[in-house]
Amino acid sequence: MKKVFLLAILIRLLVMPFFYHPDIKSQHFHFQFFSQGVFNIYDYLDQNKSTLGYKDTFNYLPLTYYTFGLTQAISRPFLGNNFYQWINDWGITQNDYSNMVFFMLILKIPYLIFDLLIGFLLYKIYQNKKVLYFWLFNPISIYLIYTLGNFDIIPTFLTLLAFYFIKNNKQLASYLSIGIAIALKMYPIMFLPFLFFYDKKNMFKNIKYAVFSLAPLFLSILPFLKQKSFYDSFFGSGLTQKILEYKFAGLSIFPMIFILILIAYFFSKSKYKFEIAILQTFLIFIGLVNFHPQWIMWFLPFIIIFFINSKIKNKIFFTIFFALIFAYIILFNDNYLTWGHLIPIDSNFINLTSPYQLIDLRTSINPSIVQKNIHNLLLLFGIVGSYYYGKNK
Amino acid sequence: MAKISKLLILVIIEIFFLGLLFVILSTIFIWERPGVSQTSFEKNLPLDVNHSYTQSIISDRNNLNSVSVLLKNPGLQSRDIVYIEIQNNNKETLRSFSISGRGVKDPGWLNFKFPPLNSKKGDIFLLKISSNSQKDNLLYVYGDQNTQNINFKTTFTAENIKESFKDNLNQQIANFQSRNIFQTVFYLFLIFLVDILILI
Repeated sequence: MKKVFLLAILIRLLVMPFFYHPDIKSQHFHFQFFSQGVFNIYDYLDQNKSTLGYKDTFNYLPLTYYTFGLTQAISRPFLGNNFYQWINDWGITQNDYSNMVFFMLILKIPYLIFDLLIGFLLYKIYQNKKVLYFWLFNPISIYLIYTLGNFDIIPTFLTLLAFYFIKNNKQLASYLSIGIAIALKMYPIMFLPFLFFYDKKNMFKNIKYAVFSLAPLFLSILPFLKQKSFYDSFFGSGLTQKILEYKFAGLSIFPMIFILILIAYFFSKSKYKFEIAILQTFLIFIGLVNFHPQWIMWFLPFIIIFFINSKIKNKIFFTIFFALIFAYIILFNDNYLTWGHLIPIDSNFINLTSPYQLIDLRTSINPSIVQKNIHNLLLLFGIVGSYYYGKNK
Repeated sequence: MAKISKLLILVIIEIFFLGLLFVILSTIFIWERPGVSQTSFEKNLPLDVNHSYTQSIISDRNNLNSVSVLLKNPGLQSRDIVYIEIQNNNKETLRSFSISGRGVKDPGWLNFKFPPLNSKKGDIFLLKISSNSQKDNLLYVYGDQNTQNINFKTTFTAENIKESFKDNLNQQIANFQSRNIFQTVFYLFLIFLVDILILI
């Protein structure tokens, strides 16, 4: 087991420094103000917008700011001299920093820790080495964690931890764990009803504990509740709008299907009912929401078991589904989602023609329409898959 | 002995992976590289029938294949034509290009890409920019009022895979030399340490 983890660490060490996405830079641009004594990042950005190199608002929750502000302050001695020059450079030289490889390595170390902890936790939950190996060596999670370099891995770990605790009848720990996850990023609130109805016998007991699932969020946003800058920043992030935007007859489809999944979950007697519900949510979410690639991470640890324990036709289904997701991602008109990932190796990669530009320049096809069609195909696959897994519990 | 062989295999795989990223991928895909540029001027100089500019460019690579100039079309109002010419040292036009003010941003780099010139490092080119605008103050170019020099960027393209490999190698060596040596050594040591730990 030790050797497996070491090999996983080795692969990650070989990937971490050389892949980049600007999200990690924009987030750390904001986190730098923590070590300068700024505790209200929303007001600070609002007041200093005109003088800052990067103009966007901080679209995350306060706990995220404090957690990563502190992490950045701790890693400061290892980041090297021109790290702060780099995060404040948004001009034409922004990618011309040869030490970017080390910035990437150091900034992703917290992600490495939580990534390995997820592997360990998956092994504890399923007692199945195949699940562990799949987590540690599948290219999807390595891409999501180390290429996109987003911090979603931390709330993902906490959500998985909440599942582990609820499986072991530790309600308080479970709700507290998902509570911290929600205070870092709002999305785990989607998983909360599944925790609540996991054990129907203990539902009344759960009501008592459920308060802990929202306490960390309320406590951390309390000082900002009366501030317009907080609402402007936080609600500008787009997840809520994206979840609601796919409509039929004026009604948002995703919340309605989510309720259906929840009802099926409530009455389910399957050993894997939690994982099935998450898988169904994932399959529908991908088709109905204009998702950011890193959002796949939210669901990934919970759906691995289906890939491992399934027949070949199911494996083919998942392979096609993820291949379509990959095609959807590379068709964004954003070179930072394709060649731009390789900027730490050579900044000139950003100038290469992206798949979107290639289709646009060389053919008469509109790449956005191709992407839209792929998304519709994902929706079709999602509905079929969700129905299939709901039926074959 | 078996462990040493395994260590060697691991090291070879790692070298191959890093070689793939740093040498093979870059050589195959990056043929165009930025060359000499001048981007420090912040003053707007008028661009019209009475004001044209000629900037001398001493190329620092072979095969010039694009030039960019920083222009400003305030409020995107001008529809006048902007002319860009690349001339050799004898003022013979080698490449020319024109665009309506519609394509000029407020402000933005206007890129003029062309089939690569069969030029050598050290060749001198003249970048001439003019406009048919009759009115003053409609289009501007960023430059220096005293010297009449303007902001520009260039790119050069490799002629063949050998040249691309050479350019890439020079770029990687320059990057390596400008990296923090302590961090480089620490990273390589870390990789080697994990290799050893796997084999123990």
